[in-house]
Amino acid sequence: MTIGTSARAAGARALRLPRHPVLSYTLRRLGLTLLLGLGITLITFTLSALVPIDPVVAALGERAAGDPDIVANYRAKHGLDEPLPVQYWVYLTGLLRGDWGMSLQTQRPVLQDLLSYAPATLELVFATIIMAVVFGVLLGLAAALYRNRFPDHFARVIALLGVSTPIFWFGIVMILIFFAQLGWLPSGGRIDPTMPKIQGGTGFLILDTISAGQPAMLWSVMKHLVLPSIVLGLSTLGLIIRITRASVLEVLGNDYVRAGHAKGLSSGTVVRRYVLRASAGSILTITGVAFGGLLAGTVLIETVFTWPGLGLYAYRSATSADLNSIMGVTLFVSVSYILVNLIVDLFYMILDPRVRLT
Amino acid sequence: MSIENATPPTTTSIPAAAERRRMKISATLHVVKRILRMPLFAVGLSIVGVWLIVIIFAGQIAPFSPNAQLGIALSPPSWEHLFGTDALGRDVFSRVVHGSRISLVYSVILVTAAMLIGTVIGMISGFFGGRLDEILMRLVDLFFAFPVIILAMAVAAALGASVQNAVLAGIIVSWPIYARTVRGLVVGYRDAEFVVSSRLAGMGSGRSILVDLLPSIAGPTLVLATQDVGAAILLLASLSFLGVGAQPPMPEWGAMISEGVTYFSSWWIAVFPGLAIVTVALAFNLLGDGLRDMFDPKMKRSIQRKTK
Amino acid sequence: MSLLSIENLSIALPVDGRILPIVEGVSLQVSRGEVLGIAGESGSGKTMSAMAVMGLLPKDAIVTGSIRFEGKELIGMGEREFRSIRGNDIAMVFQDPLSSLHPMLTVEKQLTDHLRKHKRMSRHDARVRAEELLRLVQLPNPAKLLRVYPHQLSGGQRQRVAIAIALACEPSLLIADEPTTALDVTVQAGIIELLLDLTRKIDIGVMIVTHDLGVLSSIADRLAVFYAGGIVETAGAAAVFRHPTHPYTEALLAAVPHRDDDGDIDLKPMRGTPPAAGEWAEGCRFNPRCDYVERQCYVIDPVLLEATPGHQVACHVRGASS
Repeated sequence: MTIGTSARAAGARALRLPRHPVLSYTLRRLGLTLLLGLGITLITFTLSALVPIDPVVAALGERAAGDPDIVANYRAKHGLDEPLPVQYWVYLTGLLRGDWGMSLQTQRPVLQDLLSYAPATLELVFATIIMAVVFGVLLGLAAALYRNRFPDHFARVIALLGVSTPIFWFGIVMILIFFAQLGWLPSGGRIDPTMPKIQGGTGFLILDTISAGQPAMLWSVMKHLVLPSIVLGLSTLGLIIRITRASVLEVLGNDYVRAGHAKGLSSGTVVRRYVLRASAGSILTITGVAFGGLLAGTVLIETVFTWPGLGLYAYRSATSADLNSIMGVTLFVSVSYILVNLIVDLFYMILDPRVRLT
Repeated sequence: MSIENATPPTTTSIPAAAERRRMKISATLHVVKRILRMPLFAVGLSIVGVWLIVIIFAGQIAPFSPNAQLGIALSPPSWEHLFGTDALGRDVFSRVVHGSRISLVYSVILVTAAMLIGTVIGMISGFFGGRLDEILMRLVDLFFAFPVIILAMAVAAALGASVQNAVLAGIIVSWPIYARTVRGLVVGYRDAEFVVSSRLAGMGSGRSILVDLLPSIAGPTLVLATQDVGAAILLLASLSFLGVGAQPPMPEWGAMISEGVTYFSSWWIAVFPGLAIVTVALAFNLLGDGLRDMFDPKMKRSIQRKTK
Repeated sequence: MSLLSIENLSIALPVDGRILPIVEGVSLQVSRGEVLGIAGESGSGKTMSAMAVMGLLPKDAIVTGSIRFEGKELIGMGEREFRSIRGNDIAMVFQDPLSSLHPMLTVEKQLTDHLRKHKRMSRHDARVRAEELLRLVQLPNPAKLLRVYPHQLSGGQRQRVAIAIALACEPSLLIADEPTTALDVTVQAGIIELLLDLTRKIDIGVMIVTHDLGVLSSIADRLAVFYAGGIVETAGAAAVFRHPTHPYTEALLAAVPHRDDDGDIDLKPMRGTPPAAGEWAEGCRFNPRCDYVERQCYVIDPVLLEATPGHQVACHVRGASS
């Protein structure tokens, strides 16, 4: 075989791209998310139907439930006399129209409650994720590069504590130390209660205080964020450390890392350009997975730190058997979780050309 | 997860009885040696051992009845009350000791039930495949779409707040991981030579599951379950903390912590039950990690390669 | 003066508290314009020797002896200085291009990052040079190829890209570790031809490490045969193929399918397996697998001696001492 023909043969095989890989992947992934969302509503519906409490009594209260006309009206309106599939249909279309039921404890529509509490929770979760990813990647990287030395042992301890410590207890211990003993940080809330309220903001206090030009208030918001986000982030930090370490170790075994060194690139360059680039996908994926755990963790953490978000709302709903609100939070959190994972998958596609282009 | 990647062995031999006995003895020795070489595993084993003693002899170890109100409320740790007393004047040490019977026992029940349910479903799914497999695995996917605590809280709240219902909620959220893992293992082994050969030898599919698959699946599943006990303890404590699990005056660790939230000046009320949870969860995680290292064929291979 | 001169190189690695010898007393030379083939089974120390030249051994490896490149001693050289040689004066092609090319970086990025570092080229100049390199390794449509990711290329194209990366900074020594092993048989010939063509076109020393004698027969000028951490035979390639003297070389060649005198295809597999490091036999390390073994082979490790001019063999029975 001459070089000429081999080159031509090689050329013929090059660069055959599928037609719309990005589009078809995105659509497939969207469809899957939609199905999953439907499945979630099915489960919350089943749980609501399962409740031993009479839904009429729960929704109307004992007194109104004593009036047969009101009861009959309510049952007809919510289709409670219909067969279960019809009831589910009523429930589902209600959800889509924004009718998530009324909250017993606040006497407001659940969806309205959720939307007003969501920013506080999201601010906490995002602050936590940013911290957990930054420190988790650094520690995981150090653990992999200095295997079986101090950074590795340290990362191991954090990861182990992350899966062995009840975070609500960890939160209390941190309050005992940094508030009760040292007095460095506040014990709860989002901002110093003596400070004026900012009217008509986004609900994200960091953004609101910045746009209002209030550095003192921003400082207070930051101080209130420190303990809850450290506590909430502990298990996520452990998770990200473990995944980063495992992924980096696997990547380090690849010839392209040796090839990077063989090119004469410095170790720092190889780690940044070659190793982290290859590990970014797994780190991103696990961050998406961790997002669900963080949202769920807010139920515990917001209770400890009296953080006025979805978690505290869920806790108060659970203790007062306010089922509409609990199912509302469950639905809201689970749907946000699958949406975040959808976004993560789409990002992954951008990150990894092998997914994007095949 | 490494367990899912477990590669099926390609050959098996049937040793004679004497040979088998000798192998058993040497295998036991081997395991003991391994344990000694893994200090963390030994630590985990000892902590679990200590807690088992506490569970069995709780009545003898605890100086007071867990719910006896002794008159002095919120007294700090002293020789009489090692862990102090709570707001109702109950001895925190006695409550922590008795609480082990609730937290540990219910967690083990939770994990065992979840493991059994998940294993059966995973086996059915993996062995029969087809449509049934598809439906079951989509159901499993659906459960993974919920953050664990949220779903458990919703289930527990729907069922009504009690420790039994919290365990039930725990089982409902925990079985899918076993189903998925076991299914993966079954699919991996299903087509392995030794299973196929026993089928050719005329064994029915039911028999071939029991004889060939169960032993191969048991290892990885037990590793998962051991690690899961730690998670189950945290989950049950969380549900009690949220008020949808154990109800007062039950000396459940999570509920005790929640009673301590409001007393910042009486740190001992929340700190000691929390430490109890941490030690138990830590111990089971150490045990699980150690077992995984022993069972994981990938791990074993890398150790062998290193010594080459 | 040789381009590369290795004298009495020994490498040992600590494993589980023991120190395992990997390479013992190896001496080699490579000149400009010469292709040295290093043959041997896996675990014979051939790859470790190549990595020693690249300065890419594990950090805890114990290395003694001397490796001189263009007169400079490489053993013990500081990392910073070594980095300016690596990829610049000494370059390497790895076995499997699917693994040696980064899956998430474009061909352009991988072709130019060391160019920009070593030669301080601008992005534009580096791209021009990259296109030139792709043409050099006979890949079509360079401008388009630069924007492509490795998985979009065929195996042969990937290895051509890997060779282009190695040649980017115009190194004077190229080390190729099993450059054809991971490729389809049909593609192998093209890669060998390319390497041969390049060594003639540019004045470069090449060290090809492989267990595939077929590859070496068509490309190598000289041959060094490794067994269990040492060289057992070295001579001009033609001499080794025509008169394999060491029993190991002879067995290796017999294990390659070939036509015998009657024109039938003949193949004689070698007995036994290559020993792992630390499990080398006493005396001559080949004695457990040797057909000619004598008593002294179990006692004394034979040294490399000249059997005929330019043809060195380490064997009591068939080497110079007999």
